[in-house]
Amino acid sequence: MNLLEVKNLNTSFHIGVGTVQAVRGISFHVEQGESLGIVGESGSGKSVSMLSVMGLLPNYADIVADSIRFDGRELTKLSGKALRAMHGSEIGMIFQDPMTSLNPLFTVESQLTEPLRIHRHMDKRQARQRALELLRQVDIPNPEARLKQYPHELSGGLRQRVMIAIAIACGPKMIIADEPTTALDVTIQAQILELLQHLKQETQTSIIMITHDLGVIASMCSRILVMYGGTICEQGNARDIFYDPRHPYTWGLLNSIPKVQDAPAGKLIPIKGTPPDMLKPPAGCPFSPRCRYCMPVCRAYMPPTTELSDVHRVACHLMHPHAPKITREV
Amino acid sequence: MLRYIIKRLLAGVLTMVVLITVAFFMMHAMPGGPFSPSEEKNVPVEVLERIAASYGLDQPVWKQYLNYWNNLLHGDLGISYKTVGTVNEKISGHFPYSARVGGLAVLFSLLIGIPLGLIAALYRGKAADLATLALATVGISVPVFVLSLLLSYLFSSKLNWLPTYGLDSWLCYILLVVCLSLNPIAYIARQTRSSMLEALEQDYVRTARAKGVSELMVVVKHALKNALTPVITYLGPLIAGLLTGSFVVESRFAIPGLGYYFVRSISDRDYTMIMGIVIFFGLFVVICNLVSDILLAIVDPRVKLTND
Repeated sequence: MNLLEVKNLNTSFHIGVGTVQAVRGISFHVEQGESLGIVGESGSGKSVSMLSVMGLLPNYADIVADSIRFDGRELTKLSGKALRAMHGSEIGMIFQDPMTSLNPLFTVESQLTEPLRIHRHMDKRQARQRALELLRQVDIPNPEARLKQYPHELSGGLRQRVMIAIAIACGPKMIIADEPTTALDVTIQAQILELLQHLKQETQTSIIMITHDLGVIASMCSRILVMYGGTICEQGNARDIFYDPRHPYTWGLLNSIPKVQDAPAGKLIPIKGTPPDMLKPPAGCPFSPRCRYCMPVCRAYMPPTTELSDVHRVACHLMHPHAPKITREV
Repeated sequence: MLRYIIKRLLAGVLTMVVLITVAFFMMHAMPGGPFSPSEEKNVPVEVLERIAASYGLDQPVWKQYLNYWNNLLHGDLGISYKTVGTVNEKISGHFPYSARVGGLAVLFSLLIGIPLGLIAALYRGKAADLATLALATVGISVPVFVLSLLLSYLFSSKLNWLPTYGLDSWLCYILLVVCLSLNPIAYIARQTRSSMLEALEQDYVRTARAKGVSELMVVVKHALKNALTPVITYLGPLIAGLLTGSFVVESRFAIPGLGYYFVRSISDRDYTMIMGIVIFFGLFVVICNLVSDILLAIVDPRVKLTND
């Protein structure tokens, strides 16, 4: 069963000089207990699409979708109050920078018990008890002392654990993790990923993992969306994306991952060019200006989505039967 | 915390010593004196010299300075040269007027300034924001003497709604408090608005929303508390400035407050009065700043009250 189903989501920001089309008509779903990875470079619309689903964008953002269904409810039709009742209880969110995501003026206890008191109507003592359990669950040593501390007294890794504890406090059905490890040291990254994976197995929560790091995706996610220029260019199971990628952008992403066996002689192959200007996105495929295999049709028309299997889908003109047959160069 | 307070108090004592010394010698460096012949033309010079000698003013300045310290350490600010009574009596008699008016002005500034800034930030670019901006510009740029004259002309002379002077009824306080607080209101509103806008953009506000915190609590608890830290820093100088009285406002509305007597004592060369009020104001500023720093450390745990 699909826990979250998004159809034709468009998000744009009206700013002084024009309209930034950050997300352009994406559709996707998340199954119960599934972990979905969303990869793409900065500005590809991955974070914005998730914040749109949550309704957490500033009010100058314009969010239009045919449908956003979560757990049988249509979010586009819910009132602000009903949405807030879901935030932090049914959907938990973990953000990129644990240094700034916690309020510097409140203790860990205050911030961790807040969702419990709002959604579960716990009294102070019950909430404190649950907070201690949560801190133990996210492997924070000496939880009694930590509760009394302020964010600036904790390391980055500990803060991110506190953020995770806040996100799972009310036992959510889905967790959205927006680059949860990007701001952390590599060793801490691994610990946090391990923790998330462990929690997922324990609680059967669905996770949406937003990242630009394919390594993170490979270790966490069973299904992957690759986003570029506000659109989904390829999606499929992890196996499809890593072993049978079809979109030139996915090839580029995979080629830019360092491989241990190649070192030191192997060179990383960067994707040439810069991401599209979302104020004036290209009429055709957003990747066409940077694509080595670009054809005239690519610049003129948005590529249709080709279904290679039930889950593996590619939006690329190269999939057309008359297009030249190109295989990935590794 | 206690060590910090003691340390700050000791630093305050040092500040006071420097203040007293500088004020004392600058005052004596001014041409003329309380009983100089150029000022008291109707009194024979010999009489003036006798009076001056009776106050010890014939002695060398350094000796007078040491005498002053001796009296000061005994809690005696001396006798006013030009008015009846001791300086201690004068200060304790007139300070309550300034403090009452100033205290009301502080309260009024905070109660109007913070909500104005908050509303301006929440309705950024809308009519409420522009109106606040206009008020803030007027409040910062119009000098208090112009404002007090204009307001008393309009409300007292023309409309005859409010009394022109005195403190006999609560109506008298209206113009006084408005005149004194317009500038602080403008400052506080602008400060609250800009720091509130900054706070609302912060990641922790987004976290609060992601937790399902109601919009009111997001604004009041998570954003406003952060936005008020610069206002708390401003609170020390504001309270010190308003409670010690404003010469312009007090003389315009004929209030027997300290601000008025301070300026009068300077034109009178009333040495003991000048020194007394300088010391009193100085102490007030030192204490208010310490209190606002402690308050800030209570609100913001990142502010460390350390010994360096």
